[in-house]
Amino acid sequence: MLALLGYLMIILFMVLLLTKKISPFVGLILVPTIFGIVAALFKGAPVRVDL
Amino acid sequence: MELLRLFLREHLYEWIYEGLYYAVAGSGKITTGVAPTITLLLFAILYFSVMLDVGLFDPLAVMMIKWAKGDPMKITIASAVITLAVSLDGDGTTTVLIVTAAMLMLFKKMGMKQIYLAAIIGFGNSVMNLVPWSGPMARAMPVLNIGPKEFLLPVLPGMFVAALLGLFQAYTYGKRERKRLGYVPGKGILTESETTGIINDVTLTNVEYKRPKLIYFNLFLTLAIMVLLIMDLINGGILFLLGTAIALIVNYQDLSLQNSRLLANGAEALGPVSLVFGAGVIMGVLNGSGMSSAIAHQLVSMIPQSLGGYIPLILALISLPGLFFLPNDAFYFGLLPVIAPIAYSYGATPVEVGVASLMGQAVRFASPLVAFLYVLVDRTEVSFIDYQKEYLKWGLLSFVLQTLTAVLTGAIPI
Repeated sequence: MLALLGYLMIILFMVLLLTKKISPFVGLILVPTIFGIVAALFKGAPVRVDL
Repeated sequence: MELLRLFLREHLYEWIYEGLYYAVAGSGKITTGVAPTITLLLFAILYFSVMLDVGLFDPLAVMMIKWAKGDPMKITIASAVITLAVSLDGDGTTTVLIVTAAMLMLFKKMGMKQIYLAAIIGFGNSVMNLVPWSGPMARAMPVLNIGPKEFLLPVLPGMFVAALLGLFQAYTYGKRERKRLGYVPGKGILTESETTGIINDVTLTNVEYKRPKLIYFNLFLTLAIMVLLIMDLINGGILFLLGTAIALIVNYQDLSLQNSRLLANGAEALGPVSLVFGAGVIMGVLNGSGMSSAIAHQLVSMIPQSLGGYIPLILALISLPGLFFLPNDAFYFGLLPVIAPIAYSYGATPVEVGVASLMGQAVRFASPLVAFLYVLVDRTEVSFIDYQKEYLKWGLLSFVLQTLTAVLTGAIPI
């Protein structure tokens, strides 16, 4: 699951750059931020959180 | 919501922090983020911008122009040498602007093909692009967690071979142009006053920033920095930070000039510096979350045992299409962090992986994703496609020669 998330993060970043949808700077920061939130949710909180 | 914030701080915030600054492993080992790379990048760009401002490279340009005396061969060779010297700052845009300022008029006045100038500048850049403070190495260093010295030494033989190829390229162009323009040995195609005009263009632009009296000091300072950088006695970032401060106070005693030159050159440094910070974010998340090790494990399980030992060579081959079709950032921050741990697991060292990842750079300088190339084709007034075709003839050869050199010197193990 984490590996898949990692692949998706990199592929999305590359696709956004190649299709000129995003500048490298913005992509480098926002794409991992979004995937990081997903990964953090996936890994679970130190204390269980009901969202 | 309070809990969610706390929870994201524990994870995401921490990962990004580790990517930017430092991480402490369970064993107590400290791994740095991109911060040291950024210091090097920022102050190397500032330092070389000041050196270009004060005219450190002017005598070289003037000497070349005088030496050429209207011989196409000498002009193409001079273009190649000036490109190699000026692109030492690792910045394509400045190189294009300086070399075209010095040489384009000569090409035009003599009716030489400007596509040759474009290809020479592109090629020279592809060679000097491999210095540690330039794009690819600066990106690869934080990913592989290696320093400039250990990285540069195994790359130098390949750079040397590529530089020779660049001179041979210029020689080939010069030979063709001599024939095409009907050059007779001993008789130049330029008059004396035309030569003087071109020299004035180099030496009399932005003359208020030039410091010809201090040239020996600046030359000594620059050489000292390069030597210390290669000897790895002082951290590269600190070296250029000190160098920039010394260069500014010695060359510009006027306080307002010290300030304004720093700010004027800062704009050039802002782009790459911001990008490397961004890289710290993506690498921090990739590493901190465990994504990269998960991917690495998954990929390792797919590689046949028999090919594992060739991973650096495989990476060198992958870098050929990789660096053409992908931006530097996607390659060094996307692909490299994934392939590096796999290579390590088969016994490759970070430096070997780093050297292999640089091979495709020779071809990258025909990629439509390299922004400064648009400045190059615009300045030399050629079409991008024509430039690509001409460049690739040499770029591909350079890739083969550099990879071969790396294999022969053992920088890429087979």
